[in-house]
Amino acid sequence: MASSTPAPARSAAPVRNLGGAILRGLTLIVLLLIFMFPFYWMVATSVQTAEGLFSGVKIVPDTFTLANYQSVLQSDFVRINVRNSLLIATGTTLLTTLLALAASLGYLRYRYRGRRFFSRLVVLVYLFPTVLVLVPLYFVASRLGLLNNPFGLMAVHSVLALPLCLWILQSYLEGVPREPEEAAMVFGASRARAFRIATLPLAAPGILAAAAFAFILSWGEFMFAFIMGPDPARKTVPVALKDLFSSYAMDWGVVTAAGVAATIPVLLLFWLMAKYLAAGLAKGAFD
Amino acid sequence: MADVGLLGVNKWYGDFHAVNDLNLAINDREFMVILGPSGSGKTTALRMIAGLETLDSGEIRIGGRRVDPLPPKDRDIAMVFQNYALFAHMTVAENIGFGLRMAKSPEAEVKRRVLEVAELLGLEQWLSARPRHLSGGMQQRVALGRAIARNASLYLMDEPLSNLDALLRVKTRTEIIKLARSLQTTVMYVTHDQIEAMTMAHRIAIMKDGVLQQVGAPLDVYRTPHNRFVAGFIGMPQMNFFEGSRLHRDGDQLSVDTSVFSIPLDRRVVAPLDMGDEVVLGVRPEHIRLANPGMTPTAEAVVDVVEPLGAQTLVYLSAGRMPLSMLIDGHIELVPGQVVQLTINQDSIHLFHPGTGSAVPTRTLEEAVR
Amino acid sequence: MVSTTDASEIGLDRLPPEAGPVVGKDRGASTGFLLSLPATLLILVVIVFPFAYVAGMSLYNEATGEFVGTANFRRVLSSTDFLPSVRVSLVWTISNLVIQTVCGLALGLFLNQRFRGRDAARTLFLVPFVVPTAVVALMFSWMVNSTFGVFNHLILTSGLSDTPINFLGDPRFALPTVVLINCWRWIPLVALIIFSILQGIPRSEYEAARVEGAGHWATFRFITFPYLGRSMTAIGLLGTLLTFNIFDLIWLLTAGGPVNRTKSLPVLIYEFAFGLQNLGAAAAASVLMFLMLLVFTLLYFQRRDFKVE
Repeated sequence: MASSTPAPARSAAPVRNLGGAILRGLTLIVLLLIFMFPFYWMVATSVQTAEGLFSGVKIVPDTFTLANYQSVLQSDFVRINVRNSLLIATGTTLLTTLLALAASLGYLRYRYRGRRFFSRLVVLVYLFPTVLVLVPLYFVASRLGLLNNPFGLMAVHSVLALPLCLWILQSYLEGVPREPEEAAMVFGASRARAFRIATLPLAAPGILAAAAFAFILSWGEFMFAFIMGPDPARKTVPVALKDLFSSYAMDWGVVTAAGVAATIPVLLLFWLMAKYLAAGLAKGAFD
Repeated sequence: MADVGLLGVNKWYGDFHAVNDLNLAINDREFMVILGPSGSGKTTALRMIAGLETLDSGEIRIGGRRVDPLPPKDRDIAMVFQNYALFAHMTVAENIGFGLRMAKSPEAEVKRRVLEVAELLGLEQWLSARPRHLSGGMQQRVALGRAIARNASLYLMDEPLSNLDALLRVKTRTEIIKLARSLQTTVMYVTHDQIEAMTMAHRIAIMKDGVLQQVGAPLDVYRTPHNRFVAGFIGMPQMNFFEGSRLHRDGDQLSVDTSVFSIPLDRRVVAPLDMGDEVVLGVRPEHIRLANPGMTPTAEAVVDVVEPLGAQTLVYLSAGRMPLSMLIDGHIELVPGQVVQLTINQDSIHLFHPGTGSAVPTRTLEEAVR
Repeated sequence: MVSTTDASEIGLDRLPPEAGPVVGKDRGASTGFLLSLPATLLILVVIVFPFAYVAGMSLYNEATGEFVGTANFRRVLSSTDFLPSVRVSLVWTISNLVIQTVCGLALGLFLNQRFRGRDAARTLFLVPFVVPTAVVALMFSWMVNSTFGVFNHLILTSGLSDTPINFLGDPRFALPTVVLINCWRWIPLVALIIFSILQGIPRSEYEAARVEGAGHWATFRFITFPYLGRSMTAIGLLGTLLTFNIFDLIWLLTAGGPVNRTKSLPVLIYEFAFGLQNLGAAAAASVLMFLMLLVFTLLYFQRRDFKVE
């Protein structure tokens, strides 16, 4: 397998024996099976008719229908829940990206009092059991009438996404050379303008990655969405999914179709951040 | 075009005193090279002039105007960076015209000037290319062009040649000299390369550990280094230092004695009071010669290693247990193990204080009288 | 030694001595602070203040508003659910960490080899992590379904068992099942982190070791392992706390059942608050859990010498 690949300069792969290649190939197939099978199964289930589903388990479906997707599209799930989630996730993304960009800039470009405190505080968000603020947030939100309010949830999701967004941005911005920004300042741009002209275009992939992460996190967050949006008209996608698959009269064809629908936006955004996710995590772990 | 003054400038990074009470004046239209090893504070000093670093104390003036409180954009400077620092998403033309656009020059004027500069630097056919498609040397030209396009009162250059390969470095060096002379402008040029300093500068300012060591014209610095560091840093190959040498007086005759050889001195030594008779003797390799037959040699030495450089040959020898090097004509052939007689002209020696390293002046009687 | 400059030479005599304050430094300091202020405030409002609030709440009867001292804590500690929950949380955390570290390391080392399609595989392996938790719960609820689930189908047809296994409903299987599902989700991420650490090890060290005659095991033992160890101490703490705090996957899959076999501390806190509507007890349980994690973190910091880079 590997021997037929023209080896790029950086991966001067020694041509291994065929046995090794076959072993690696088999391992890869088994691993992909383990990690990808549930998705396959969800999709396979979602395109089967009810009769097909109840006539026994078949690894390769023998019926095919898009009726399940049709009923998902026509249900409240898309009309209400997807809409809610899109709104909250978009708001969270904008808020988080702005906050993270400003903060990472302040952190990287300036030495200020409280700089250390800030980085500690950020780590705290992940060290701290968020389930512990579930109770007071619910309590405060209900007193302030912020239950079922999308802005309350956006704020919470932003905090949850903020640390990793910050780390992704910081680790990315650290790799962007500073000299062009300095050149822009020397050649007549203000500090903010120099950043916009010289650094921002180069930092775009990092910013996109951070934004994608924020969106994915908000889109999938269950616990706070569940507690803070009990009103059926305010439920987000994960909360609605939970209602779907834990109800007694469940139709697995429709449930899995909804699951597929909930996964698609994540997959669309995922490739934007896949490359930078680990770098961001590693960055956070060292700070 | 402006003169530049740094007055009592200090910069700390935590406990590290990066620039220590720097006082330096650069004349209008002067090409000043700041030379020093890494960590000497030379780049920090330049960046403070550019406004990219803040001062902890002191003042910086450009053309009589105090600039240290101003942001970089208001200092009327242009800068060439070590890593070119071009704007990757802009074309060559946009890069060159950047400063003019920032200054809100009329578009026609920007175009005209960009073309002019591109012609000057031979960049005409690359104007619409992006920097990443150019070679390192071309990128540095664009960076130069960006600086030239703007008629700044001061040009700062931070090791602009250090990322270029050896051949290109020499070529670009000459170009920068020509440009600077023809533009009649003030340039501050930072480098760790003493050859660049010697060849380009009107004057060199040598720094070490944040402290300015000496300022002077290249040959002055070469001939009369103010201290041992400057003596060792300027000049290739490095000056020989003979530790533990002594000044010796025998009647009217003064001499400086190493453990192996002795050099008579017809000059008076103007020694600091605390020095006693111990000195460090410094002799440049090019000032050690092979003794002609019949001459009284200064020392005898054994050849250890011979490094032919072409026109000249660098020879490492041992005089007794003292290692030394000398630079001789390329056509002379020596072999390791050979015993040679050396002479050292007393006018070419340097004496340094064994503790402080500062130069100990010597003077002839006539000089002293004059 | 230092050549100084006459003031008149550089025109200092032409200007008045003061030329305004040096603003650069002060302005920079406050700009940096201002830039990180919004993020700081948001974290304080969403995490820090509510937690301070919950600590206060634990000392009051939430319904009547009267100060009750340690009554809430006594109530929690004497609850028959509390100690079993601590036990569930410990089993949950430790088993997750062990399985994830071992499998993540193996997968990471595997990915560190060169083969065609490695980069694509790496990206693909991350999908389980980014998919919403609710989708994960949904997929696995369906797969482990005792009547129509594919797992039971495979178990029955392969003859491993005569009767279908109720993975999430059987007290013997519920916790292991939830642990394995959680591992399925996190192993790829652990592997990817390990992979990126492995990629950061300078190639020259391996080459030097090979030249010195070190075999596979020796290079792993003396180069790979120390590098991983250094990075993993910090990631280990993060992983422990993150795992301990997981609520949603457990709750979505089993809601703490059957017979409390999967009721970890976060689930218990949730139940106190929203099942039993006893916010005071929930607050007290929150404080207790926080103290446990705090003690753990402090011990962890003490045992490992953290090298902050």
